[in-house]
Parts: sequence; C-alpha cells; structure tokens
Amino acid sequence: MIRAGLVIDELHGSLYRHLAVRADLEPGSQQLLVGGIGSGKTTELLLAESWLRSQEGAVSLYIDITAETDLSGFNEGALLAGFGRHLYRYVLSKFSADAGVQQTTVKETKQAIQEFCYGKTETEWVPYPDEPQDWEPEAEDFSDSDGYYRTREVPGKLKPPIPAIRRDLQSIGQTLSRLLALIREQKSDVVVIFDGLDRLLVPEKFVAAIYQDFRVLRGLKVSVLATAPISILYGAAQQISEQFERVHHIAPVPAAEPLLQTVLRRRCSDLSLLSEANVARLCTYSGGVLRDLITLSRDAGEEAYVAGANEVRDQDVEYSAKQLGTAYLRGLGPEQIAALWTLANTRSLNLKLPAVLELLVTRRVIEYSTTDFRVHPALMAVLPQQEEAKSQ
Amino acid sequence: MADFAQKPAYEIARRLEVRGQQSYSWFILIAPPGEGEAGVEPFAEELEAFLGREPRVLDITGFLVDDLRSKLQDPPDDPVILLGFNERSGEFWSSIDVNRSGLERSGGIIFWLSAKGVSELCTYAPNVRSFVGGSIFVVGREGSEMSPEERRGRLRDLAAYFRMNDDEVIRLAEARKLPAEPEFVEWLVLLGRGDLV
Repeated sequence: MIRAGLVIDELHGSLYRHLAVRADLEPGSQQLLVGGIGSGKTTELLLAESWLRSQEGAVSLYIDITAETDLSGFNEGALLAGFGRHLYRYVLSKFSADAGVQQTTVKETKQAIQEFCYGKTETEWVPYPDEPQDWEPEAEDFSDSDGYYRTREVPGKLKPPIPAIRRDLQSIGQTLSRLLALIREQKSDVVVIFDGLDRLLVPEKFVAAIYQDFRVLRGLKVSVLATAPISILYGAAQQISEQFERVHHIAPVPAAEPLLQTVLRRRCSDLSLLSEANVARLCTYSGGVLRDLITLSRDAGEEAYVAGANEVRDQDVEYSAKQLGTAYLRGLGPEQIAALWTLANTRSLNLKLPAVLELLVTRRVIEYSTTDFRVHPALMAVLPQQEEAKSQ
Repeated sequence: MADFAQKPAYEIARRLEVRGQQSYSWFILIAPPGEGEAGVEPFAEELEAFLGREPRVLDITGFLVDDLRSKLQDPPDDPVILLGFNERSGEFWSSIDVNRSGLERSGGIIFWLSAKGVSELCTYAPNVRSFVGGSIFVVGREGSEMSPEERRGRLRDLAAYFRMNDDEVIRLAEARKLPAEPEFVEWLVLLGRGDLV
C-alpha cells in the first residue's frame, strides 16, 4: 500500500522519520512505538524501514515476530532467533558471490543459527554416581566403567509450542557478532524492527519476551525499533519505559482533523460514491482509529452494494457503525459498562483498576492524550443503559 | 442490547465474493439459533456457488495454535471455514490473538462460532476482533431477512436492470447459459431455485 501511494506518510507528523533517524544515528539505541490496536503502528514501522533502506550505510530488517513464532508463552531468545535468521539471509544474499573470509563466516554461522532457531540433538556424558550400581547398563551405554553417553533434544527458539527454558544467550550473540562484522566492514549499521510485540497486551509478558534479548542486541550495537502494548504507559508499568531511549506514543487522529478525511479519500477509488457528510460521519464513528475508519467505510460500501444502491447512503453508514459498535460491546460486563458511562458523563477513568485498563487496551476507550480519554464513538452509539446491562 | 445483523447465507457469500478471492478477509459467522454447526454445510454450498471454489471446512478441535497456523497456510489461498471453537478456553483465544499475523493469508477465513464463542473472542482476542471489524453476522435462513415485499422489490430491480423476467432467468439457468454474474445467483436464490446455481 505504501508503494501504491495509498498511505499518507505524514499522518502522525514525521514520526517514522524521527524513529528512523535516531536508530540510524545512534547504533544500539532502543525505541518503542506505543499505540492502541489499529492506530497505524505497523504502517509507521514500514515507513521507517523504507526510509532506512533509502539511506546509505543502514541495513534495516523488518520482522513481524508473531508471524514467525508463538510468543504467547515465555520464550526468551525468540527475538534473537528471529533476528539471526533475517540477518543470516541478508548476509547470504549480500556476500553470496564473494569468496574467502566472508563465505567461510557465512557457512560457519549457518549451523549455529539454525540450531538456535530450530533445536538440535546433543550427546552428553553422564557419570555414574559413586555408590555401587544395582542396575543393568542401558542400551546407549558404551561400556565405559565411569559412566555413559546419552542424547538429548535441545528445542529451538522458533519451534512452537515454545517450552519455558532458559539458555545462555551470549553464545548466539557471538555468532551474530561475526555476521554483523561483515556488514560493518561495508560501513553499514544494522537496525532491527520488531513488529507484533504490542500483541503482548500485559506488561509483564512484554517484558518477559524482550528483556534478555534486547540486552544482547544492545551489546551488539544493533538499533531496535519495536512496537509495545499501550498498557506500559500507565500505572506500575510506566517504569518499563525508562529502559528505552525513547517511547513514542501514536495517538488516534482527532475525528475533526482534515487529514483523517484525506485518508479515506486516498483509499476511495470513486469519490462520488461517498458524500462529504458521510465521510465526516465515518470519521466521527471511527474515533480516529485508522483501521476502524477503513473497515467502517468498507462495510458501508459493501452494504450499499448488496442493497443495489448507487452510492453509500446514510443508513449504510449507520449499519456499519452499529456492527462495529456491537463488536466492541460484546464481552463487556455490567461493571465495565458502568465505567464507560462514568467516563462518558464525567470524563474520568480510573486506570488503576485492571478491568478499566483493559477497556483501554482493547480499544473500547480511546486515548487522545495522557489526560483525554473517551468511549469509542461506535461503541457509545450502542452502549446500553446501566440498568439494561444489569438485566442482560 | 444491540445485536449483530442477521443476513442470509447468500448475502454473506456475496460479500466475500465482492472483496475478491485474495482479500485477506476475516469474517465471524454466528450459527443460526438451534442449528449449531449443522448450518455449515448449506453455507459452504452457498459460498462455493458465489466463489466458484469449494471452501475448506476445518474442525480445529484439539488443535494447538501452531497446528491451526500450519493448516491455514497449506494452502494459503482457499476460503476456509473454521469450526470447533466453542469449547476452547480464554487462554486459547489469547494465543490466537498474539499470533494473529501467523494466521493471516490471502484466502478468506470464516470463524463459525456460537454466540458464546463470539463473546469469548471479543473478550480475549481484541486484535482478532479489530481485524474482523464489523464483518460479524448471524446467519439467517435463506432469504430470512427479507420480507416478501422486499423480496419482490429486489426481484423487480433485477428484472429492470437486466431487462429479463424470472422465467427467462430460470430457462437460461436450466440450459446452463446463465451469465456468471453474482446477481443471477441472487436472483435464482430469491426465486427459491438455488438448486439451479
């Protein structure tokens, strides 16, 4: 979509350029991009990657880590494994025609990275205990009087389901540093972009997945850009932010902002299908959440089409807003509905309560700034009165 | 409390058709009351009529997320109807949510859920819910959402647009000479002649 010109690159100021420039100028820096679901984080990361690619002396590797491995369990090392795989592929493509030292390094690192990613079989020596034996030797016993050999499977970091094991990550760090040295000989630095980490909605899970791996990457002087869940901006999780050079918050674009309407017009191939008034209403119902704006518009257009209408009608916009609002409503209990009414009536939100913070994390509440929270407009349109909610 | 729109199977199938075969679209369909997963087969037939490709019906009972990912990506471009979510835990939905990117594919995905299953998804999988957007429908029985007058009106519209009458459409369908446009499929369904599709 970026190449097709369907994306407005200055939608959040020049955020992607700020991210990319800092990553480029400060090797080893670590920046987080924080925003609610559907706020356009991936687009900003892809724009940053595109900018970095256009720069001499920068090698950027974009990795949607949740597409490559299961991060739902605790799996230290998965980010390094993903990075290693992408780095190896880059180096292989870059130095495949070269002979000598580069080729040797590529070959030697291949096995180490493969084993780290996908696991290996190890043979280990098991000494017999000092006390007298009262059992027959096992089949794998090589008849050594002091002990025996046995094999064991060491799982890889990218082979789901991921077991909760700990390893010394420094060994893979040394392997990666050899590949990085090849790139640095070409006067380039590496920036790794991890997308998908914001899916770890709970701060503790996010930290568990990144802590050790990011430390190794910092030691390797690899700059990191990564998405993070919005929950790290609030409550006790705020201290997580202090470990990073910069935490960028990507807030929704206010519904009244003309730029938001431009997003829609850029994506709509036939502008005559959508009146000015309905563009404005779609923007309002989206609350400035970009993915919601796109799906609301698509659903309204689809509804008009199946009804045989020649343009998107008012009722099509209302239909799509009701569908989206109902999706946000589903799964909410009376307490959360009460909290939403409190927010709607008083503009106050107690984010110290986990059930209330969840409303923010799941996008029922939209954050326009650190003090400006509002109920998602599509949800607000279908939000039942508290008495009605209790009787359901 | 607000509920999702009820749409007949042919209309849902038409939405999938409109988006194109490689649209990366995800839908959630809520089983008609009392029908459970028994309604999948007629829906799959409707879908095949519109897409010209038989959808794969995949029961995910007992699957880990990785099993689901492997099955969805092999092949990655056919329409798939997923069943068997109703007994899954919130933890399973959370895993699906974290791994959403791994499940993305060019072919459409249809989650066939109970009303409870939809609530679980909306509670534990906000990223999946966001990806689906408003494409959540209660599957109605054939044409059930249209009143007789609406049905007659739609048939009048189709006849005026194509300058044909109902008998001609049926004759052409019987002779296998009906044009491939989805409107003719809709026309036959509205006439109660889905057997000719």
